[in-house]
Amino acid sequence: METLLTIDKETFLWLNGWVGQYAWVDSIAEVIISDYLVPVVMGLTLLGLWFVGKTEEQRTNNQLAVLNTLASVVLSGLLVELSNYFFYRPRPFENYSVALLFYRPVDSSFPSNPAVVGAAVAMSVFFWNRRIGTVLAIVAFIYSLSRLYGGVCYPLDILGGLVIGSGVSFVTWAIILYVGFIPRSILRFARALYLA
Amino acid sequence: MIAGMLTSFGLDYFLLCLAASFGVLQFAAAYSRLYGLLVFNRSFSAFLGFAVMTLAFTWFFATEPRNIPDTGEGLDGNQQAILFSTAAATSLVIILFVTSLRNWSTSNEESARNGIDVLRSTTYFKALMKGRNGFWKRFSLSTKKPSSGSTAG
Repeated sequence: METLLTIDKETFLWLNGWVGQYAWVDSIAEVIISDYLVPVVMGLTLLGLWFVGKTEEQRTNNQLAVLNTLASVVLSGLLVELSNYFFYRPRPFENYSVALLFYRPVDSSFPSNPAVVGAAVAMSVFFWNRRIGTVLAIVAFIYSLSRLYGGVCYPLDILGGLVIGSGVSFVTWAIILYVGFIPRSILRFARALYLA
Repeated sequence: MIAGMLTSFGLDYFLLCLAASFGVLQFAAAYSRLYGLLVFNRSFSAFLGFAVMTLAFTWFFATEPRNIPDTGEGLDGNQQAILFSTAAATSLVIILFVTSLRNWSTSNEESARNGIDVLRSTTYFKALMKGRNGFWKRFSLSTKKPSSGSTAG
């Protein structure tokens, strides 16, 4: 465990050491790292996904992906709250001198919230629509990486977040597949209103 | 929580989501040929959607610094979710109103389609008016059992 934490710290310090080397990379990272860019982009992707699909079956799958995502995000959010209640890991800037590109969050460093949410969204979509899911996974990875680069969390926080988000997505996907009468009833209702 | 959203920053965030949702909906409707949801013709609506989306993000991020903590003027995850959902729903309602009024005189041909596919050939209000007595019938008949997702592309 000690070795793992040392690798975690050294990897963080190495990556964060690049801040200030290239001003244009820092500028881009400062926008990507924002709480308001990637989450909005992901939300808009889900909104668009609801309405697209070449066939009725494909559109139904896209809409189930949206419902899968909503359930995953809520569930993983609850898991993070629970984890924060029992466990606190200090942020890197609390222990080391780091170059910060972001404000100083006050919650636990582990698990990384953006990684949890990003993975929950990307994997939930991936189970129903591989192409869009892959794009979202890349976006989630870059979002998580920007937090690491910006000095807000450690690599293990990101990894833990990705595992939690993906795991919750898988569980909700399995639930929808095998006992999916609730999402299907929602779709039936929306379809009767010409909204799905 | 609600009071925390009613700030200048909260309003900016709401406007970003409202405009960007409008753009995405126009773009998606154009891509899916849902003519009943298009404010203008298909190609111009797609262009307009993309332009509105790009302008909204540019305005939001270029005018002021936006890395604001949720312990200060910023928004926490729940507040963001509420504002985003409200903005997206508002945007959809505006589009349904505008397109239904704007395309009032367009043809209302009979269609074997169900669900949102009806909007390929008619407007939302016309579809609702035509099927006003058949909600429960549509509700019980409109479902096709979805696939497992393994064939999704």
